[in-house]
Amino acid sequence: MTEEQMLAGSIKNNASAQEAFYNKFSPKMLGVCYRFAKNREDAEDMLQEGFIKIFTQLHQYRNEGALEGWIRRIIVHTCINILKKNKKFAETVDIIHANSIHVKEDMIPSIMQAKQVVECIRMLPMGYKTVLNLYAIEGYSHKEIAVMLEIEESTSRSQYTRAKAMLEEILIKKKIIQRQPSKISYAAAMSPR
Amino acid sequence: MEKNFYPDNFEQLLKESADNFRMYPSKRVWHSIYNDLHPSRRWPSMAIWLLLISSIVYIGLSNKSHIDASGPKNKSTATVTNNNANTGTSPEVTTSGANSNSVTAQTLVSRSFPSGVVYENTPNNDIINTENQETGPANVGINQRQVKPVSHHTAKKPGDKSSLRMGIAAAGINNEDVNDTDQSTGIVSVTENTVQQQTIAGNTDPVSLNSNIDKTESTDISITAKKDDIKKDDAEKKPTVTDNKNSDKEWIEDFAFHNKPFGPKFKSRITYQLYFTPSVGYRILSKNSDFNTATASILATPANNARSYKTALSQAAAVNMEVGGSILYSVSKTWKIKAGVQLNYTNYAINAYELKHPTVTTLTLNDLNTGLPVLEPRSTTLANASGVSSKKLSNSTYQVSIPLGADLKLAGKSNLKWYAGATIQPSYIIGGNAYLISSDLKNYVEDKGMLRKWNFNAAVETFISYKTKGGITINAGPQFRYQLLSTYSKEYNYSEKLYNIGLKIGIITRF
Repeated sequence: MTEEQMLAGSIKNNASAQEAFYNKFSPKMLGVCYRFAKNREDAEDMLQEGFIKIFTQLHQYRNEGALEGWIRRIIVHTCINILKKNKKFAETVDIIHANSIHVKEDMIPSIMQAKQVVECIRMLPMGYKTVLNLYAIEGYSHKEIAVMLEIEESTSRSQYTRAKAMLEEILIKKKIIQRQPSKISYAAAMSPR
Repeated sequence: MEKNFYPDNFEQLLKESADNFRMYPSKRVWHSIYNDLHPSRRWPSMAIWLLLISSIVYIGLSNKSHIDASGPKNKSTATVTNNNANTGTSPEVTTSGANSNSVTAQTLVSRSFPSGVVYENTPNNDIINTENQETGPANVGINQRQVKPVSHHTAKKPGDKSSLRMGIAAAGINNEDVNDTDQSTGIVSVTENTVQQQTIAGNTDPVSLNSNIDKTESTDISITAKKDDIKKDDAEKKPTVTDNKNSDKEWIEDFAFHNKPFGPKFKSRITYQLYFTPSVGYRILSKNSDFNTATASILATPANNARSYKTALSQAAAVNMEVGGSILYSVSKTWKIKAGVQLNYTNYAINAYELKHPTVTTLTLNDLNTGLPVLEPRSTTLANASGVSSKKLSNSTYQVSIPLGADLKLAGKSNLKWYAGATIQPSYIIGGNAYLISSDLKNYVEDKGMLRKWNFNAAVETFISYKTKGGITINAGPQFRYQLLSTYSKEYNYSEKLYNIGLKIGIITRF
C-alpha cells in the first residue's frame, strides 16, 4: 500500500489503511515519545493519544511538506501537552552535581549507539530533556519552546545550556563522545534560531 | 553514525541518534486506537463476552437447580383428605392440616380435588384455600420431606377426563407430574425425581402405599383410603399392596442409597471467609546472586568498598495491610483447603535526604544480554547520607494475590478451635514505589520500572476460631508472610525479599 493509498484510506476511516499507516509511522514516533516520557508505558500512552489525534485530523493535512513532519509535530505537541498536564517538566535545576559520576568507562559494554544516546537523554531531569529534545532534535526555536512550555525564553536557553553540559558529561563517561582538549563550545545553544 | 564524536558535533550526534532510534509499540496501543476510532466494532467482542458470561451464569444456575432438585428440602406436612370417597368425588389435599391457611413459608405442595375444580400442581409457597371443602372420613395425614414444588396449576372442570373419580392422593413425591391416563381407575400416575423419607399416618383407616417408583418412568401409586372406597372404584384394576410394606421400605432405602443428596452435602462443606491483616513489614536485602560477582567487584567504587550496604542504609519497618476473601472447603473434620483473592499493600521506610539540585549517580545493573554488569547513570535529587533536608521515602508495592492453601485443626471442639494454616500466593504487582540505592551507596534513584511484575509469597498462620451463636465464625491469629522472589528484576544488583508479621482477623460464614 502506497503512502497516498494509506492516507486516502485512513481519511475514509478504513481500518486496514489506518493500521498500515500506524505500522509505518509508529516505531519512529514511539521513539520520539520515549525521549519525552518517563518510561515506556507513558510513551505508549502518548503515542496512542497522538495517533488518535492524527487520524481524527488527517483530513486537515494539505500535502504541504512531508507527512512524517506533520505527524511528528502532532506527536510532539501531544507529548508536551501531556507533560504540561502532569507538570512533569516544571523543574528548574542546576548542574553543579553533574561531575560526581563515578564510572569505570572501560567496563561499560557497548550497545547500540542510537539507543544509548537516547537513553542518556532520558537520564536528564524532565525540564532539561524536554528543552533539549525540542531544541536540539525537533528543531524548535527557544521562542517557540517558551510559548509551548509557557516559560521565559531565557529560561529555555539556560535550561538547554545546562542540559547540554550534563548530557555531554554523561556521553563522555559512556565513551560515546570524547572530551576535546579545548573548551567545549556552547555556541549552538546561544545562537538564536 | 561514527563513534567518538567531539562535542562540536554534539547536536548533530543527538539528531542522528534520535532519528535512527525506533521502538515498536505493543499491540495494546493499536487496539486502543482502533477501539477509539471504530467504537461500533467493539460490539463483536463485547457480544462474545456477554455470551460467555451468560453461558457461565446459565450453567451455574442449571447446576444449582440440579443440586436443589436432588437435595433434601424443607420439611412440609401435607394432609390428604378424601372427600366423599364413596361417591367417587375427589379428595382434597391441604398442607399442614385439612384447612390450612397458615402454612409457614416452606415449600408446599397442595393438591385439591373438590367436586368443582381440580388443581394439579401448585407453585412455590402457594397455598390453596380449602376451607370450603368438607373433610371426609378418610383423612390421611402424610408427613413428607422434600416435597418439591412444581410450577403450574391448571384448573379443570368437573367431568374433564383429568378429574379424578376417586380420592387418591400421592404424597412424599417430588416434582409431581400427574398423568391422567389412569385416573379413571383411581390411580394417580406420578413422575417423580426423589423420595427422601415419608411417613404416612392415617387417622382412621389403614393406608397402603404402592410405589413402583422409578426416576424416569411414570409410577402408579395408589393409596387405599378405605377398602370400601376402593371396591367401589374398580378395585380390580388397582393393585392394592398392603402386604408389600417390606418391599416398599427396601425400595425406599435402596433409592435413598443411590440418590444421595450430594449437593447440600457439598454445599455444607463450603464456607467463605473475609479477612484483613494489619502487619508490620520490612525487607531482607542481599546481593543479587544472578550477578557475575567477579566482574561486579571490579565495578565497585572506593566508596562502595569502604562501606557495606548493610550498615550504610538507614531503613525501617512500616505498616502493611492485606485484605481479602477466600472460599474454604472442608475435606475432613481436620483439614480445610482454601483459595481466594487478596489485595496486599507492602511498605517499608527509607530515611533519606533531599538535595537542592539533581545529581548524576549510577545504578549497578546486570545486562541480561551480555551477562556483564553495567553502571547506568541516573539523575536524582535524593541522597542517602546527607542533604539539605531529610526526607522519608516509602518503598511500597500494591499486589493482587491468589492465596492457595490449607488449614489444619490442631485442637478444639464445638465452638472453639485452634488451627494452623499455610498458603502459597502467586502475586501480581500492580504498582508501587521503588527507590534504589546507587552503586556508591550515596544516592537513591526512583525507578518503578525495576519492580518485578510477578512474584510469589508464602504465608503461615495460626489462629483461634470461635463460632458465634449466629453461625458466624470469627478467626484471629498471627500470620507471617514472606516474599519468595526479589522485589526487583534480575537487572538490579540487590535482591530484596519482603516479609511481614501481622494479625489476621477474619469472619467465616456459609453461603
